[in-house]
Amino acid sequence: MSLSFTSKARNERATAVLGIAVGVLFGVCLLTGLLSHLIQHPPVWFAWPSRPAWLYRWSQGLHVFSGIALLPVLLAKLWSVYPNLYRWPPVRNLAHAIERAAIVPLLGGTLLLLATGLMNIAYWYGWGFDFIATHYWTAWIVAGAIIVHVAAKLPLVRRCLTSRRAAASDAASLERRRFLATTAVAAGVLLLVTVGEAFTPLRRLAVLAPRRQGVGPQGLPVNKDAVSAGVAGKLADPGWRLAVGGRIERPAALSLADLQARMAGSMGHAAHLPIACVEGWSQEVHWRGVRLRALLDEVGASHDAAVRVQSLQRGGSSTVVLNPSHVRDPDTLLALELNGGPLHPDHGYPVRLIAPNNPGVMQTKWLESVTVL
Amino acid sequence: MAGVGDGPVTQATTPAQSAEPLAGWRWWGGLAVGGAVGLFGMAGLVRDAAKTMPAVWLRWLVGLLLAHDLVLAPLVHLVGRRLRERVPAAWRWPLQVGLVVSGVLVLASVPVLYGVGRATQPGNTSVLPGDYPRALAGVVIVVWLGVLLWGVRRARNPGR
Repeated sequence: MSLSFTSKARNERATAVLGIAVGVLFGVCLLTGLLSHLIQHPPVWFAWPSRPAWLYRWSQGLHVFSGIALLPVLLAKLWSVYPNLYRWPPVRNLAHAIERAAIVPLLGGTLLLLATGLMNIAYWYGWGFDFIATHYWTAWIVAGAIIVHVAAKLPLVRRCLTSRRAAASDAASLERRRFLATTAVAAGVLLLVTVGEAFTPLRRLAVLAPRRQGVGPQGLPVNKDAVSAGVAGKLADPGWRLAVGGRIERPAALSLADLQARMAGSMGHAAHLPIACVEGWSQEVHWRGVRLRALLDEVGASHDAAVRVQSLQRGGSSTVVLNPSHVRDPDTLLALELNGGPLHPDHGYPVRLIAPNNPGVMQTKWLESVTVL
Repeated sequence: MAGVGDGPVTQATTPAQSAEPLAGWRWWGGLAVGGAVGLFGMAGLVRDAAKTMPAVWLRWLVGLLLAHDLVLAPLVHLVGRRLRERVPAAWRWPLQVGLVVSGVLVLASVPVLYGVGRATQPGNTSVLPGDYPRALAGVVIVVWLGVLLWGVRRARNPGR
């Protein structure tokens, strides 16, 4: 069988356009991914603000859905250059050998990022390695390979997009436009049936998304339920108290009734805030509870302090440190109610943290203690 | 895909391939910066080996590359050629759109179709709540109804 490449749609100009599209989508993925990583593992020079409240939701939505859109665009890009795989001689000189070798981490790494990302949001951990560490380091490897690739191809891209020679024949031009349009339609349809798990106006169309807005206890999806978190047996304990300690003047141990009394009084507050999961789904809901900063005033803590919140859950995401921006924010709540009712056990009964502009994984559920640092 | 790469490669069109040699400060500078960033990633991957399992990682990376280069790409190539050779001109583009959109939807849906994620939290009904095989079938049917209408219109009005 001879492998002859006869499609007129396969030309330099199509490749240049798709290369730019892949670069832009990967760039958005990389930056939003790094941002999410910084927020969850902040170095000393980084403090994530509590405002605007929607920013993390959008940033992480862009991360997951630019990654999803990347799948058809990347495959189209690869189709357009596939004949190069069989070019002879395979390498012409040292620089060309380096450039071609860099395609292995570039392409293998990008396919790995897409595959693990798509599997992870569907809770399919079928690879053996740890998702977060592997996804993170692979992204750096691919970023390096992309810089090398861009350095090699930028003159070519510029020439393709500026010269008229590239659009040699009308037939080729028409085929190219149809091919690019087909790619755009594929990306568009894929987004249309998934993005509604984050983008509320399209929520009814999200039939292939791993989550649905409105589906879950109290009309909100649950990332980890109480049984899986190993806390289900602890929630009915009448001896439960929220311990408030650390660098404060008057340590306290508050029962659920104590918290409810504060919610009913001047420390009580209600807020519309989104849960924005690192896996891309998000939904805004109505929370009611006790303002964290009001509670800190009561026990005599500084407003400029950071606060560590500990869950009844052990391991995993059971502890989170809130920076002063989140501690001070008037909408940061020790939430007791969700959408007008007491928290469902899977949503963090008896009390959970909810703060503006943080990833869902940092909105700690089933609180055990609040420690001022 | 037996036989791929055995025969001569004829090129009716020119895929993007730089004729000029790679040279100049942009190329070598880009190589230095990109190489440094890539090595930073490799070093992190190796340092975190207990989590990243580099041997398993490498198997995935190479496996995905081969799956693309030796299975998916030749398959798409053969279907595309069949489309160009056997299908009347008016129907080519609609069929291309139908096939590409369906293929992309199936590929992207493999994790939700497989559905093992539900077993990670048996009590959590908000994980993979949909009937995904049915949903996928529904979306694909809608896509092909569109393809059908569009193709008929194109076949009747060749000028379009």
